[in-house]
Amino acid sequence: MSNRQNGPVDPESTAVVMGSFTEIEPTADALDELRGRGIADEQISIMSSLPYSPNILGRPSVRTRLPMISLTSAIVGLLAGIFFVIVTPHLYIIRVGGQPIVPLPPTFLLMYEFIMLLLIVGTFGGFLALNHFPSSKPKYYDSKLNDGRISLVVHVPAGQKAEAVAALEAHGAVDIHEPERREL
Amino acid sequence: MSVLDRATGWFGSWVSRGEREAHHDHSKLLLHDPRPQEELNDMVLDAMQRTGRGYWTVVGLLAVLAVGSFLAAWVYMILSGMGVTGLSRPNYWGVFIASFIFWIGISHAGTFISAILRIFGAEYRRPITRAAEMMTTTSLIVAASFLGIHVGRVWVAYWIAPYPNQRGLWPNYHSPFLWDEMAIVTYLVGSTLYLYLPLIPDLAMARDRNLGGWREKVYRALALGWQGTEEQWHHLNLAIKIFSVVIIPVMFSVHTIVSWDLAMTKALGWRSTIFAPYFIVGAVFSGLSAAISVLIIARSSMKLEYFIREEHLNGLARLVLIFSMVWTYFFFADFLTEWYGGDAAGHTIIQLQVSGPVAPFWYAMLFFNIVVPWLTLWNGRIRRSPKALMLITIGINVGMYLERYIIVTGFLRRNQMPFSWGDYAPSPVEIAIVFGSLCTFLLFYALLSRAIPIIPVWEVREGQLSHGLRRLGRATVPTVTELEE
Repeated sequence: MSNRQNGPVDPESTAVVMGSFTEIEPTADALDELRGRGIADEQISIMSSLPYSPNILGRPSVRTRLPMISLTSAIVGLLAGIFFVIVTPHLYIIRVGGQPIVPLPPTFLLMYEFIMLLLIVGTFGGFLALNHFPSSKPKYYDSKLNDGRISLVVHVPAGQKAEAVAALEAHGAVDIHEPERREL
Repeated sequence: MSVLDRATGWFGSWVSRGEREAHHDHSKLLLHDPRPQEELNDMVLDAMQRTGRGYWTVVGLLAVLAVGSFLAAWVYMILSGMGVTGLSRPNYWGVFIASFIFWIGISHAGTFISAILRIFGAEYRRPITRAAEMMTTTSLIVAASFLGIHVGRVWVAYWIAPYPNQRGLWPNYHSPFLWDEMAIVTYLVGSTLYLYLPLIPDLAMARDRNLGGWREKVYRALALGWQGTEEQWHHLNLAIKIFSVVIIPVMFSVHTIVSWDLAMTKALGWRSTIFAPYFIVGAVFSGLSAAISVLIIARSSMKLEYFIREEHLNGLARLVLIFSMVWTYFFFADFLTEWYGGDAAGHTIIQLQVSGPVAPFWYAMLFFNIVVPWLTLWNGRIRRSPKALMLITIGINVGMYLERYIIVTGFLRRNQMPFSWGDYAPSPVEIAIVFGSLCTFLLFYALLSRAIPIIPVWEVREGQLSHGLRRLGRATVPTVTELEE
């Protein structure tokens, strides 16, 4: 995962510029121009009210560990299932004439439920962890985002700020300003 | 032209008339009728805050009935013991278990509409997924309460938890009773989180409106600090995809296990290998019907006509018709096997349904579940008529409740030993609890519908972005653009 949303490391030497668009085409054009002016993708973060894929915006794809977290959770679920359904009956044995201590069909059934339960909980936990949710830290945000705006937040060295502003202006960005972090 | 040709022609035109009328005007379709996102947000938020005197009167009445009927009768039963029910040998399972199965069945609507239609790319699902998911969560809570009600001594329910206690017993995890618990817990957790995940961007939308009061605090907390960054959207979409795939087998497992509660016994009529798929199909059938009823009420009471249109009712009604047919297939297969099996004890079950004490319920079930949908839902106009659909879908749920009532309380009346046959009629306490459970469900739903955005605005907007019209020859045809990677 990139550090796009975390902002600049040294706030003294960098500037932050936010510009908003109402259409996706000029947003993608502005991104191209920012890149053309030497501003890397890692320095730009995008906020929108809709899930635009990186392909649409011409951005590098986002890498995520969520599938791995889900898989690990499923394995933990399998182990929990084995503990409850296979280990505990051997720890506290209840003998019933003619029946095994661990009958296989219900064992599979319960292990399946444990796997699914942990997979679901783990995936949700992974989603929260990867997004740093819940988060009360102040963040850059455009409160008109949900009216359909697409906002670019550009982190640049102070000397490059004018170039970033020019690139945003060139493609019709509205409300270009130096944003302040706010609690959401 | 033969009579048969004329009849076929008339039938074909009757069936397709509604289709022709609907498909010529694309602007009637939600995804081809976009409006600014701000306007969509306002429509949904206004609907949530529209709680006039009528709404509070209904909620108050439901609350009184839920407390006065459901809770009061349950408390009375706890204080008096299970003797106040109509349960006695050989009918140890009554309307509590029938209701438990019914409410579990209703819960299947959310998963079916949201997860299965999402995976198969049925675009008309977009505005109706959340209303269905809300139904899943609320009906599961009501269903789970029936397990506690049925066992009687609910205050010692913790005894089934697997911990080594002072009696040296380790409750057996392999018992079918715990299969139910595990399946319901998994499904409840899964469906609640599945409701919550796509809700986060809409909660952030509500948060940004600074509505003030409790709403602002709650939305701020529940939105978790959502910004709408690329990473957040990517993780959200991926998590929803994983949930969509995982929740479907969980849904299947829940009603499969519920059916096995019956099929694993030696009771007449219950020991059937097709009970699992029969129950699942019945659950989806009743769940879809309930979803239509709820959507029609939400559409008119919350003024959501822009989002919930005839196309959505039509799409769901088609599924109801299909599931009515599949349910009929399973019902007939099960019935025929018992009938042709020639077993004398089995025939007592047939007789019980066809001409015995449960015959009125049995014929009513066939009427509501087969005759009515088959005669009406072929017609596109009926499938688009909210009033007609309301009556049909309520009828189907009456029919499906009767199905569960017959299977649970009907079949137990007869067994291999005629000296222990006995009849069953629910007592006033049981009837009060069952009626109160319906009021409780409606109360939860009514409150939830005004607490969270019932329409997933961002999903609707995404759908509108990906849909367009294209000229092809002499026709203008709808097109869909794949927005994902």
